[in-house]
Amino acid sequence: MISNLIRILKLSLLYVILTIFCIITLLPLFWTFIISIKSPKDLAAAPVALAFRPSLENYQRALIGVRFVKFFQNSFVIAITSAAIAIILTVPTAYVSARFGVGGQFLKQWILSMWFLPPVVTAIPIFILMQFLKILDTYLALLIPYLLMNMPFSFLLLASFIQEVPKELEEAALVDGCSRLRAFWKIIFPLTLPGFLITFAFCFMFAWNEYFFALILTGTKRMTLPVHITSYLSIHSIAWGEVAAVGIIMTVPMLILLIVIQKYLVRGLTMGALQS
Amino acid sequence: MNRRLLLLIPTVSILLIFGVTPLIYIIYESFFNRNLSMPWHVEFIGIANYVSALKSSTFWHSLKVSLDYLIRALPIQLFLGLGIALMLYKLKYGAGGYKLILSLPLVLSPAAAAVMWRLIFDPRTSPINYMVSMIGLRAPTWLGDSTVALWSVVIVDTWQWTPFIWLVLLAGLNAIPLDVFEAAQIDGARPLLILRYITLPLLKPQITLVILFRALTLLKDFDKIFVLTAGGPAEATETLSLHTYYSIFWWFDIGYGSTLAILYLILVIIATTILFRKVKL
Repeated sequence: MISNLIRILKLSLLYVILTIFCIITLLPLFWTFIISIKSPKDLAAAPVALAFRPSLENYQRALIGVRFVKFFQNSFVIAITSAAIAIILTVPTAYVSARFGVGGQFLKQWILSMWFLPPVVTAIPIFILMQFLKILDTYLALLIPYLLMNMPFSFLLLASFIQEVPKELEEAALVDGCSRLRAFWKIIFPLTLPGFLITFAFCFMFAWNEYFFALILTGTKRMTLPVHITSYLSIHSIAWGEVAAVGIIMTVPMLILLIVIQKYLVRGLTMGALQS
Repeated sequence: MNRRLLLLIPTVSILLIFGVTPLIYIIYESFFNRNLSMPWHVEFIGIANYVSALKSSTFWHSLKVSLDYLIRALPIQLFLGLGIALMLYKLKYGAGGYKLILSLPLVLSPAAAAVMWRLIFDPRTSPINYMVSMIGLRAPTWLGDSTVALWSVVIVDTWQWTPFIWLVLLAGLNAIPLDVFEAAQIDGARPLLILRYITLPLLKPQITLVILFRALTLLKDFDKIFVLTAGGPAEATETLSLHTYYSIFWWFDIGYGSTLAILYLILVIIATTILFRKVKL
């Protein structure tokens, strides 16, 4: 009886502690949301007060004009393109690496080490190259560093998914007279389609969230949302309400994405080294 | 065989052109005195850049801040991550909901997350400062005090990256066969002893992986610190990545910036080598 009680107490303690962690996790988001629905007037009068009339004024201000729409579109276009191109370019390599062990451990390590390169290290040559080609502030300028970031990731993750497809399935198709390419298209691709989608989602996320290269390579034309939101901070009197509204709008697509990739977070973030 | 090697070309060529060539280029630049604000003046100066970097107190300071950041953030995140993983492992109901909420920071843009945290740290809008003042205490100047600022950055990083640690450790826990724990329990082992002598040794591969991954991502961190403190106050949070950034994009000193980038790269290569020794891909 008493031991049962202790067990229940222990278990409820777990729930309490985890709930506290959840509250801490949500605090910045919750607070940003609160600030975002406070009218600028209320915000100026009593920034911290919780009694106020919700207003959408900040959202209207943040969205007004072409600027925000353009930056949202920039972020979206570059995230989609860099994810798609990274996958297309790395599929063949991932395939031969996973199937035939071409390049072996060395290839994998070298490609992964490219992922660990700090952006600041490649910043000078990439900036000078873009300046020389006169493509600063274009999609192409962003695409190159984003490929550098997404290709190692996509290669490793795709390889780990392709490795899971039993060799026998492909061999059976070959015996039936399929070419390697056809066997890949008919057998491996459909079986690893979830893997492809997950890889795409992760690459999209990395590009959507990327800040450093967007900061140094884009100006007013191709600025992405992370740079846009931080650009508010350099203004003398910060429009906190608008900043918060932009923050919330930026977060929504990632929340949807989280629900999609939740099961694969471990696998994705360790680039296939671990499977959940 | 040759046709298989052909399939390596798309990935390998792009990584060579845009990943490796830049490294060769900065080695080259690091031997020159070149400033973008004076494009006509380029001068070969040998290893003078390296000498002045190694003599510069700012360089050593930034290296110290980078390592300090790592040493402060990693143990806290590891401890919290292990704790949360163990708790989630015990849960029978509702674990899914907790996992979803707790892993949320992972998918947010570090820059946007840092902006959100500025709302928490700014004395005018901070709910924490407000609550602290309600009970008659004074909250620290989160980002404006040089002794507190690095801790504030650590808080934000811990908020964002602890989920990665518990996710990996939880996956590790789930892979341990249940009868291992049951056998220990039947033998009458106390929970703490089970943790020390059974769980932790079995989790060793995951713990190693997490430590090395996190160490590398902490070393290359830029966004969070740049947005939160921009390296200030008084260079208290100026890590190697920010120091390099400023010498390039603030002082336009390409030669010296390349030298810093090389020294930074050496640090990353050491860490990566250790990673590859310990973790098999």
